[in-house]
Amino acid sequence: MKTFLARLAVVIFAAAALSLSAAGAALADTDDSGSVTWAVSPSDGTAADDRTSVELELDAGGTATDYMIVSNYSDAAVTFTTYGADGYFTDTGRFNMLSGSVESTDAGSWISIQDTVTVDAGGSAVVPFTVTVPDNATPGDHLAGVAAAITTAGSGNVGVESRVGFRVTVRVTGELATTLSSVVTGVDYTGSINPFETGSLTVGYTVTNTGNTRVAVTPTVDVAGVFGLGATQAVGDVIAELAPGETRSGTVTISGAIPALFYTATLTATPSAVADDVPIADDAAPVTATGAGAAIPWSQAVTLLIAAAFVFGFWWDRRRTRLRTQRLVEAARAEARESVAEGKAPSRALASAHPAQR
Amino acid sequence: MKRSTILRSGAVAFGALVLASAGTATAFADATDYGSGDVDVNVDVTSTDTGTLALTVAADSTNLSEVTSSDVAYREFTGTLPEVTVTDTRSSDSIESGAYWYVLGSASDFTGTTDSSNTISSTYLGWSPSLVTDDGEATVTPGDDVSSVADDSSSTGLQDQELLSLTLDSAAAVDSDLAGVYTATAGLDLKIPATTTADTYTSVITLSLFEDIAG
Repeated sequence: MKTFLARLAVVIFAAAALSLSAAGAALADTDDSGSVTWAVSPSDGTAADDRTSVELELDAGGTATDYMIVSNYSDAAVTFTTYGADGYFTDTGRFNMLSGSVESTDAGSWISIQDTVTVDAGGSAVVPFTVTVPDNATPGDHLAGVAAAITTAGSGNVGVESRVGFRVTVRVTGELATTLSSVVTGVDYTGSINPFETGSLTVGYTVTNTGNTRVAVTPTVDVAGVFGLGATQAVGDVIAELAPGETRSGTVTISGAIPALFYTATLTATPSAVADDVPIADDAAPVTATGAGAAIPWSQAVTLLIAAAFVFGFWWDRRRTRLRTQRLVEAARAEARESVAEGKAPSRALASAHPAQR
Repeated sequence: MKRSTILRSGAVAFGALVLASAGTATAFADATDYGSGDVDVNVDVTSTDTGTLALTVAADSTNLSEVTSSDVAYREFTGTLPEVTVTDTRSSDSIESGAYWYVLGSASDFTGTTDSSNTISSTYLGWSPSLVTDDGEATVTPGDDVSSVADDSSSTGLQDQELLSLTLDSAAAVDSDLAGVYTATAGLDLKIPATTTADTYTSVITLSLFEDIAG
């Protein structure tokens, strides 16, 4: 094992040396300063236009051609790799597209574009791309992106592919379905140590786009304790855009929640259009999901217990004192009776206690 | 001391504590937080071609070299991502309202060059992004640190992670002290089980610059 490890280390160092020389050679071809600067945006075929992304509406089997403009701000000509790939939203709602090495299966595979483009120093090149929708494509939104990248996969132990691109959204005509499903993943109450302070209630949820259109979602959470105690409503972060098939998770925290023993949370996920010109299905309706969690008033219970213990303590102490007094009185009486029975005068101590009798 | 005295002073102390608690409760009673809902106001500003949003990369590959791992069950390799610069030469009034950009990073699984069936999942690769240009005003923010799954079992590694993103929208950022030039880098950290098969492994980190419109 040890020799294997040693060999791995050697091999990795060797790779480091190898990639350094390879990188040096590659950069010498392109740019003396070792850096490449470029920009990419949608184009009308001659220059950059106002769009930040490309939106197409096509029939199944339809085609459209659009343009990407690549501007090279480096000191030397650069050859960029150009490609289209499936698009998606990350967990934080950012648009991204599959890496160049991953094969696309949806709209990314519908895009045909030349593999590379060489752009002179300070120049720009317009690259056309064609979107061909398959005959059997399902209606609704399909996300893709196109990008111009410089890539050196395999030359070092970590290659860096850098790309600048934009979204290409294809809406295939047909029956639009805007449906959501949602789940309440957790209802967690965190109480305060201070019995007079309220705690906080955190409701976790997920929203899934089960339809075929892009959709914006407003999550609203209604919570209520037993007998409707502490009922309130909170609005979660609005999901700006959720692609078909995607799931996003979120949480809302309600501070100032009373420990109402048991909370029921109802999530209402309300769909809306991502933009005015991107309509959703007419029958789009909110969906609800419920979940529940305990909210035990521990600090309040402990406080009451301690208070009860003191009350009991006082009662017990008082009872004991009363019993002892009773016992002493009884003992004194018994002694007095005994003295009377023996015919003796009451003790001097008792007599002297009444100066008036002197 | 008499038992009743102890009891009485205990009760008094407890009562005082309860009162103090009630007091602080009022003192700390805060406004109820109903989460945050963003309201976007859209103003259409006609864009004129007066500049561009460009990406600059300093070099095209990087290397990881072994460091002494504090845990004998793992081996650790570190490196640095080449500097990445986003330059926005547009004038603020030519940028569409609500536009914002971000740079995402995703790594592919490491594959062996001797035997391509040897792989190291990209979940073992973490990074810690940092700003090279920092105006101290949080105009741009580096992405969150990502741990190797060896350190944090819930980590998904370097997948769709933010390297650099705007806090403001593009137009406001152009008018900030950074004047539209934003540079970031990241420390790379590969922590793998010591039992990993020996091979020369390679991976590709894909950095992507996209601009989007909020709302």
